[in-house]
Amino acid sequence: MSSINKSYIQQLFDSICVEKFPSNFYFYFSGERSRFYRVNKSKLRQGTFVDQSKLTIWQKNENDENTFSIELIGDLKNDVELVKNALGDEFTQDVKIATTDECNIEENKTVNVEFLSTLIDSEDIVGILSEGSLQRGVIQGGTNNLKWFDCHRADIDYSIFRGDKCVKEFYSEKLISNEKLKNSLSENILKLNILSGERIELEPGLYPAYFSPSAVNEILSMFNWQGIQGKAFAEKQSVFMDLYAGARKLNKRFNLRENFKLNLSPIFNQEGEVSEEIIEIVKDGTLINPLVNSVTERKYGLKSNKADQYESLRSAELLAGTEPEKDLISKVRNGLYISNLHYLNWSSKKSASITGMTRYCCYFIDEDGEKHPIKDMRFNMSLYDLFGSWLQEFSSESQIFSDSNTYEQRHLGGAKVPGMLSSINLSL
Amino acid sequence: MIDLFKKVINSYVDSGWEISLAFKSESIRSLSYLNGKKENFNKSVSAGVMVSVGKNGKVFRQATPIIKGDYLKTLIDQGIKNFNILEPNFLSESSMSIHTGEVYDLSLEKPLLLKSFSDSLATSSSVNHKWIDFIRSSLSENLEERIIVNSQGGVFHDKKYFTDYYLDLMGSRDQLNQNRSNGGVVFQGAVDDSFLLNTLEKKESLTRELDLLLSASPCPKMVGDLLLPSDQMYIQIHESIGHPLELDRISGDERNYAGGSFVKKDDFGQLRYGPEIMNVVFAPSEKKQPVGYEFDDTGLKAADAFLIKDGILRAGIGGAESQKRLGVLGTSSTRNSSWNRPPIDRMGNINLCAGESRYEDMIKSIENGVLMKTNRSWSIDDQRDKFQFGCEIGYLIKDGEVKNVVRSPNYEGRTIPFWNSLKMVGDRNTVDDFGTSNCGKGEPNQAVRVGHQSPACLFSNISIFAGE
Repeated sequence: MSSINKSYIQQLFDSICVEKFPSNFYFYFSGERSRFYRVNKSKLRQGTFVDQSKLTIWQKNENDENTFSIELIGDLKNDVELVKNALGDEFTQDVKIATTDECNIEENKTVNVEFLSTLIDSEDIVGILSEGSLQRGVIQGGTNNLKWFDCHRADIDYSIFRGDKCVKEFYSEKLISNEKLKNSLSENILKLNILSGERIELEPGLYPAYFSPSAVNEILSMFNWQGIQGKAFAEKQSVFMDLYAGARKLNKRFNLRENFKLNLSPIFNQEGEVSEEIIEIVKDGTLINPLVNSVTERKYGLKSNKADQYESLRSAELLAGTEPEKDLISKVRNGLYISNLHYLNWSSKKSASITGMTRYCCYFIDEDGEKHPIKDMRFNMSLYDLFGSWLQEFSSESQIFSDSNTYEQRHLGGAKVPGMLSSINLSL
Repeated sequence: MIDLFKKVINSYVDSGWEISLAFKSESIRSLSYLNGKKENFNKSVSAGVMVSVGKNGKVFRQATPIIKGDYLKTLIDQGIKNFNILEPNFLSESSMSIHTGEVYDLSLEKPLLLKSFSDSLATSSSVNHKWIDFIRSSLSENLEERIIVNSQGGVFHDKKYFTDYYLDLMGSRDQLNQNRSNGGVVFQGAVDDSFLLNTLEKKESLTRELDLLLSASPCPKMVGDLLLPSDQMYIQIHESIGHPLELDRISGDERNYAGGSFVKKDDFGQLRYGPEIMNVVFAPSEKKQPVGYEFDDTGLKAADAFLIKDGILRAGIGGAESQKRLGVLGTSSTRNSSWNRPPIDRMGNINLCAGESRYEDMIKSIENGVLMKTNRSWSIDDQRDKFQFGCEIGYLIKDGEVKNVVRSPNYEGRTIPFWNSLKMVGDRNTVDDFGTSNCGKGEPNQAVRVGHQSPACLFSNISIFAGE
């Protein structure tokens, strides 16, 4: 493992004389030492350790932006050369790939075999444990003020299958606790028992439904995709144009905010701008603040609230309601318990309509309160209905979900989300 | 680098360990213009080595950007140590895919400089109507190099060059916002003058259609015929043929993330996926498509293969490791997104073969139906059965004639009944290439490039509606 850490990054920035750069340059570092244990049938399918350290230099001009990204290797001489090459003629010069003799190298830690022994051989467990450190740092040209964030995180993401029935679990902690994993497995094996019996096929139509926090979180993630971004509103691409214009509202129970007190992500963005700790986005069903960064401010004149590069939710909190989850579930008759959703997409931008599928541990609750596992169903519905007139109450309990995505790198951020009593419109 | 890798591996020659060093680098440049003006330019380079150590069909991997002989040896030694600790916990059926032989594919044409396309991007993104709010035109070029050296004497080295081009027109009229785009194209090779000329022609036709969309009614609800050209067929193939045939999905690896498959081991050689006019191939020999190559990311030699022949399922999508696990036929397509991810079963160029129907005859045969162009919404269940797709534009077809434009057209269906409702397959004149650079899958997650070539196809009795 390379020993790239805060003091190395500080040293690198000193060596390239960041202080002498103009103030429209930003140097953004993201690194990780990750251990991935991929599991199928309760055994190790793939074990992969990854060490990576990426530096992105962002040049904000009056009318446009340039970015340059390189992979650091932990050899100061080499990495300084890489930065210089990256900043050469923007169109013609290739960044050289380094082969070096000078890297500072740390010993790799050994594997986490205790985690694997905790998995129960007699059950069919599939999923991934991702663990290790994550770092983010940023400094603006002309300054010597390095902003830094690092954490150690273990993401436990698994499903237990029995034939075509399954329960899914996801949680994060600083370091993996095998005791907690054992308890989590036992709890979920109990949940699997609820799913005994044949899966029933439901008729399309509107059903009352309790959405678990995980299902609500899946829908909330759609707000990051042409949802509440300043750029999406300015370019008329948002699904919430009517909400933005004040022509439509969500239910007054719907309150969404960025809450950096949750400590799920750095409070600074890729320019090193520090956000307010709380940003109210939707208050009592009314959109009051889209997420806006400095690029959108420059291009379209919306006021920046120091959002990140993609104007996405980094530390979202959907405010909880007043009734306990068990009371809300007990109100469902001839309706559904929705544990998880799958493959959401916008089916209509004008009406903020989503389509997607039910997945994993969803079941039908009949008029006597009996639970029946269902065959997965497609749904189509407008968020103005789901989070509007159909919405009865959010649960008083919330769950925190870290962002478990690992495209290119392990992601930071997450959301605190309650469950929800509303309805679902099944279509196929 | 090949010599360095050979030297490192030679120190383990009599150790009995199977060792592979796989280098991958990607140098990407992308340039985006909005309304005739430069919006942003990005340049990135990422390179590193995946160090794999294995024995008895099991493997442990470590990825590093540090390419230095002593350090690679340290990683191999640590890998051996870790492998020994993990060995009792490995899944018994997994196996390391390691191949002999030497393959060099370095006939890369010299990449063109992105700079010379600034004017074209400016022209193609310039707004020339008051009802067009924005036009974004972006071009991305990507040089990729792969070097794999292994302890069985295998040496594999190639260089590839990829281009992505996207053109999106955004318009509004009377509170209605609509988009019309080229759907995004991705191909191997550099951009040439004819490509840019085509782009300007494409802009003209997209402008005409956007104008019509801004005055169009929503697509009516019906059960009727559905005519899909290749810019929608590609995603229909991708989601309802490509993914369900992936052998690692069938083996259960993906059940916690991307999902499983309705296809089972015993379906190979048996399942009627569609009518006799349906033929689907894995085509690494198509070198202009995004996944034309001589070998996959394990070094397995690439060869074209039928996946579906005369409507019957023949082979799955997956490399040597998966073929051994399941005991079925597969493809040379164990691939990783970058040096920092392990190779897994991925699509390559998955193509639907041209048929014999003329496009005019396909339209003439439609009594009541819709022509839908350019995908904009896609969703399918985790077993790859119940799907729903939406397109940017629809044209009603009545009594063999193309009528008015409709907006927000969507359709839904279930995979096997849908493909069995395939009535006509277009001839070579209707074939075009599409694909995506962001097909997501795997734990840890990986997004890769895939290609899909298809003719226009006609399906009957499909549930069609407006997504609003």
